[in-house]
Amino acid sequence: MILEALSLSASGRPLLVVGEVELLLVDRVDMQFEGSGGPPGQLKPKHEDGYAVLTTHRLMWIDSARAPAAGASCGLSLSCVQHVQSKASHIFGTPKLRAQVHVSRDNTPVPGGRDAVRTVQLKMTARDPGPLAQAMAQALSQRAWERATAQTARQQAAAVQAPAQQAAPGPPPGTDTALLRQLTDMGFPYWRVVRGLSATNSAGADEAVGWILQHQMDAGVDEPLPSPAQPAAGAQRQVASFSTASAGIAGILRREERMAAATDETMEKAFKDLRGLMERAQEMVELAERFRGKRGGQGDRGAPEEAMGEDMENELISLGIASPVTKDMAGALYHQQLSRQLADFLVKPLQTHSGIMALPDVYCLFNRARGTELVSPDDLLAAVALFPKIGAPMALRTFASGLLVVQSSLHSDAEVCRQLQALVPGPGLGPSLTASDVARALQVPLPIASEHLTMAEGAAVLCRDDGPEGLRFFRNFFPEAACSAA
Amino acid sequence: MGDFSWPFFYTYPPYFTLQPVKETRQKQSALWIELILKYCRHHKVYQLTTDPSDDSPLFSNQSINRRLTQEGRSTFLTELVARGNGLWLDNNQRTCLVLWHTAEQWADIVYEWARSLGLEGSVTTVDELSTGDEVQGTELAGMPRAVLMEALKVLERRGKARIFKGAAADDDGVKFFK
Repeated sequence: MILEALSLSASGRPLLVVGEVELLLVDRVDMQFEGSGGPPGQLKPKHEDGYAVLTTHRLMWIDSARAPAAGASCGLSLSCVQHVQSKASHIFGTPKLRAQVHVSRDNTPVPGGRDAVRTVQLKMTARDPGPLAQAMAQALSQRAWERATAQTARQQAAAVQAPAQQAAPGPPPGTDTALLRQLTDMGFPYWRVVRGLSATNSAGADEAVGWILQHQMDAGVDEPLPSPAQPAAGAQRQVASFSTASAGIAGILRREERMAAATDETMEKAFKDLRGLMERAQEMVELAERFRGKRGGQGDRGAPEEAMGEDMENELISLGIASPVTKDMAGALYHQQLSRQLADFLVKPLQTHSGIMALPDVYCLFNRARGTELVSPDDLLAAVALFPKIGAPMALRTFASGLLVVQSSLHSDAEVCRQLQALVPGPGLGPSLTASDVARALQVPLPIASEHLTMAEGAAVLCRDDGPEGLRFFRNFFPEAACSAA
Repeated sequence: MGDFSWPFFYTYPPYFTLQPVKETRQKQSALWIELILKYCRHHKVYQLTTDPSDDSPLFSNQSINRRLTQEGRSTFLTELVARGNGLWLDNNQRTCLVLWHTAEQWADIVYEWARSLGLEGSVTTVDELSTGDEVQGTELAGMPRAVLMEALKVLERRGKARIFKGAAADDDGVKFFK
């Protein structure tokens, strides 16, 4: 079976498509094919020493032996998978995951249908493939890739002014179908629109939109309406009246139990809200990504849009890691994966920060980009410490004062010395430099500016004046003074 | 006594801050020692102190509002002593005798002076070597007793002179040999 070769980021993380989110990582996974398989040109019956990444769209196998190069890394679109199951270990074999994949005549995976001539088995052996199989089955049932294609299709349809009828269960009787179509075409979710129309008695588009905007944060607003026959859950209230059941110790216990159950229910609701909120956050991230894409696409075009504000743009750009690595998803690979993601993420910011960033700044920027999936300072430090191991083009550096920074491998002290030297031209004493002068001139934060000064002093480029006005630095005139005196 | 010409770096503020970097400090130290010796020789200053309340223009430049700290003075005077151009006068190293000529050089100068007067074989008082009529106009005039004694001790070690203890300190005598 010929799988799609993967392109990896500079630090060796798989590049995801729009809307694709990583679900689970499993370390030490071998891949076995019926016959042989792999990415084009590297077909083998068995690929060993890798790890598996399950996303909402694909099942990927990353060749860890050759990381961060792609090696034999390959991916399989979940849409081509017929079903998946996990086999527990038995006497003669290791536990494995078995996926039945539709393939076409030329042995490439295809979504089932006319092109699919047969199914081929793909086996993945791991110490415990159970969770992977489970998560994969769930991803298969959620069919996220379809949602994404439906979304783009809808956007395209809207763009050419040719609204397509959405395949959805029929609306409740009495709903204005023309209004319904108009509103869904505007991009509102189907069931939200249905609710809006029924709440406003289909009075008009404006009223419905008003209701929708007001209620868009409500829990369950996008769930299908229950059929009228179904009684609303939790609607029954016990009428408090005296009976022997509520008397005495037993009665108190029962009452306690009831209260505990009620608390549970409240908690449940609260968590549901929280999940809802997190989903919204994800949408925000997507929005930001879209903006970023647009801005990137416009590139050098027109100045007027520039007026939208560089600040706003920067805000949007600093958002937007669509698939943050989390502990739940990556398990034992967490720090390593986090480190890779961080390395990929930091390449741009490091460039704009002249190759050096204080660790607290990195922390803030990274967490802002991750949206709701915040990392702890300890995890960040662990990830940063792994940079040399994963071959990232940056490293952690501790200055003599204890300041921790992430420094790009392109950054060189000699270059900084040269820049500082240019700021204090000779001959003679020349102008003085304070840390804030350097911060302004080199566009670096104040703590880093003072580190630069101390570093240049150590390299005998500058000398200090600890006068009544505070610490200042001058060009180092001592060598030439000693020369002229001798 | 003519005006003393200060070196150009005397008006540079970093000159008055003790430089923390070793390489730079060594150069700074050399510049200071040179200035101290030149200044002391010009103004016939034989003693310096690390006491920061001392407002000698050598260690403080009012025009740029900078002065050498006690630590700085102590560092450079220690270096001076290490080079043989200074001598601590007390155990806690607060006052320093400045020898713009080293004790050896002073010994040569004293001996030369004695020989030029044909004093070999004869006895003279130590006081006369710095205050006598014969030393007026030479470098020996006004020399503090401590410096003189250092020079004579060197001569004694060389076998060129012998110091006699008098009844009082003023009565110390010295006999020069050929």
